[in-house]
Amino acid sequence: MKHLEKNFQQAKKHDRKGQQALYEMFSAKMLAIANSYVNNIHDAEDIVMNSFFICFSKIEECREWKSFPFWLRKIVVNNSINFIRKRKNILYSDVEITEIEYQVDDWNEEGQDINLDEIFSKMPDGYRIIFNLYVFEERKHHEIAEILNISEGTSKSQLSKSKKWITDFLKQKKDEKQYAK
Amino acid sequence: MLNKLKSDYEELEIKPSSHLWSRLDNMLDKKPEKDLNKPFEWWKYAAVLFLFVSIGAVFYFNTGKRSFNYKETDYMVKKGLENTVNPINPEFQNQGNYKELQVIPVKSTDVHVAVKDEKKDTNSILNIKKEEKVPETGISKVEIQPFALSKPEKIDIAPAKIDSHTPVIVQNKTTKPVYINSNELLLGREFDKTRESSQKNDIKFGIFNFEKPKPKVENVTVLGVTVYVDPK
Repeated sequence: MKHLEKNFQQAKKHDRKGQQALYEMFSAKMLAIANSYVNNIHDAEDIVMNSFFICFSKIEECREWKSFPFWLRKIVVNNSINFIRKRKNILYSDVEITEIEYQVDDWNEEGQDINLDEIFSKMPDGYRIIFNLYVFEERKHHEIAEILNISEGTSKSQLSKSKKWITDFLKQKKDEKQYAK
Repeated sequence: MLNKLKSDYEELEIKPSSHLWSRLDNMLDKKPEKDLNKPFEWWKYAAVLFLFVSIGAVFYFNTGKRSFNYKETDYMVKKGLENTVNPINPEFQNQGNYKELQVIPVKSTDVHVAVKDEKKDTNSILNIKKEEKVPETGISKVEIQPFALSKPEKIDIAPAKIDSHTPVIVQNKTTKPVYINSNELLLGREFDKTRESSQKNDIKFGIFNFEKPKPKVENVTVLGVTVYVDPK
């Protein structure tokens, strides 16, 4: 943490060594986050590079060194969503709220190995974005609706569908394992 | 399961390719150059624009002033000469003397004109006969009329004389206050105006009055006599 503070202060003075140190500290994590949204390592690298560039250009806006990782993560997530918006046309169909009252029965089931990379690679884009934003970024439905320019109901329905998709996927994996044995 | 997913997600890391930092480094190197160039360009354009505007303004004002100066200088010289011949200050100091000197000649000319007009209007038939008598009547009227016309000015003061029966006004009469006529006030104001305008012309900023040291005066009229200046 002391290194983070020192490097942050150096980067604020546009010192290249400080910037490089921050890059090395957070690039792997940020690349994984970007990849979880765009599902393409090359695009994710571009997003990370642009995010670090924006971050170092506007580093004066970040006052506290403690908030730097969260600030950087926010930039990466926003850039990832913007990238998806530009490159991929995701059409969210509005669904009535009665339809979303789907409960995953075995959602709380534990003791299963989860391969996140595999899940992200196979999960539909529409589900993935909302699932990531809600579960990992801890955004509220109204915030997601604002970010993606969709209705709150759509966000809720997409989340429940994504959860269902994951449980089905995990079930399928489990079945495959059992069948293999 | 949700917590497990979260913790797995937070631990997830993908090492970026080695050339990514060099690309970012290049991007960061390019950025400061752009920042330095942009304001420099702006200053350059602003400076050129300012230069053109200032040159234009100087030319515009100087050309306008030069064309106007001929009349202006002639007028000012005339005014100056009139002031030297008929100074303003003695007029206010010696009011009584000034009235007698100033009013009578002006009124006499007016009377001449009035008399001539009356003759033209009324004596249309007997013009030929009366033409011989014109000098006699003209002279007699000229002598009478000035007093008649000068009287109205005295009438202004007359009410004070009439009121002199009361003891309070008698006291005032002893002090003999000096009143300023409306005409004199207006005249004084006009002189003030001319003074102010002349001062303004001198102080105007950004105008080079090239002709001020050498006023081009072709002729000067003083009391009806025109004096021509030899240009050489």
